[in-house]
Amino acid sequence: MNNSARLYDFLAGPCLYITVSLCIAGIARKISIVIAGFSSGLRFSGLQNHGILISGNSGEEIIYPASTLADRAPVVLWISVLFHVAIFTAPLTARAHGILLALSWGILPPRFSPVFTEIFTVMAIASGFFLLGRRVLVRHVLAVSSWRDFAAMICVLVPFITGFLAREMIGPYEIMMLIHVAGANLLLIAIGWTRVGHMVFFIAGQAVAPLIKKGGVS
Amino acid sequence: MSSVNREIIIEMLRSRSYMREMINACASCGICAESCFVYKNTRDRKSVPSYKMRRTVGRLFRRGGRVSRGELESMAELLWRRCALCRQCYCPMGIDLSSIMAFGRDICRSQNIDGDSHGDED
Repeated sequence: MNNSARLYDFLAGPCLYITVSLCIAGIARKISIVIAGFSSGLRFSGLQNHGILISGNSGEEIIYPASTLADRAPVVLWISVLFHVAIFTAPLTARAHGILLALSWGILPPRFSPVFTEIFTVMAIASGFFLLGRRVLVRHVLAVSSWRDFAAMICVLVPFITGFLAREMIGPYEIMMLIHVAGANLLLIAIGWTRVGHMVFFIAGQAVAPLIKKGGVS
Repeated sequence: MSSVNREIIIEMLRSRSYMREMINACASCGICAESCFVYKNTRDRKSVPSYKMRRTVGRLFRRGGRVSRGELESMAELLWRRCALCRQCYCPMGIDLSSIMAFGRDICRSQNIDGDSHGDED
C-alpha cells in the first residue's frame, strides 16, 4: 500500500470519525446558543418579521412573506437557494458516498442516478462561483467581506470541484481524491465551528421565531 | 481628553454576550445594504449595515472592550451619523442589526460619547 492510499484510508476512516464528531458538537453548540440566547434577548427575527402587513377579509392582519429577499434581490435569492440545496443534495446522493457508508457503518442509503448527483454538483459549483464573483465584483459586498468569507467559500467549493473532476477522471485521480476527502473533512469541521455553519443559525432562528410569536418560548 | 472606563464596557458586553453570536452569524452577503436608506443615498461602504455592526459592536467584542476613547469616537460616527435606528435594515439571516447598533450607542453613552461628540472615522 503506497503513502497516498494510506493517507486516503486515514482521511476516510479514523479522521472522518473525529471530523463528524467535531461537526455534530459544533452544530449542537450553535443550536444551544440560539436556545439559551432567547432567555437573554438573542433574536433572529425570522423572515415573517420583514413581511408586509396586509388586512385580510376577516379584518386580521396577515403577513405577506414574499416581500423579503424575493423583492429585494430575486436573482441572489434563487441562486443562493439553489446553492444551498445543491451543496446538501449532491453529497447525500453520491453513490460513492453511499458505498462508503455501507462499508464503514453498515448504513445503506437510497440509490440515486449518478446523473442526478452530477446535476446538483454542477449547480453547486456554478452557483458557488456566482456568489464568489458577486463578493468580488459588487462593491458593497466586497466592503463587508474579509479573508474569512473568501476562505469559507473556497472551503465549500473545493470538495465539489475535486469530487466532480475525480468522477469525470479529469486530472490526476489519486491527488483529486486526496484533496476531495481532506477538503470534505475540513468542510465538516468548518460547518460546526466557523461562519460556514451560518445556516444553523438561520434554520434555528426560523424555527424558534414563530414559537416566540405564538408565546411558546418566553 | 478623558480616558475610557473599560470595566463598564466589559460589563456591558458581558451582559449582552449573545450579541457576539449574532454578529458571528453574519454571512457578509451584503443584502442589508439595499435596505438602508443611508447607504442608498451615499453609496459609501461605511454605511452598509453589516459594516457598521462589525466595525462598532463587533470590534468591541473582538477586543474584549479594550478600546481607546478615540476609537469609541470613531465608532460613534458610524453609530449616529450613519445610522438612524429606523429599523428598516433587512437581514436574510434574521440578525437584529438595529438592536446591535442601539447597544453600541449605549456603550458610547456610558463613556459620555454621543452623536454630538463623535470624531471622524479613520
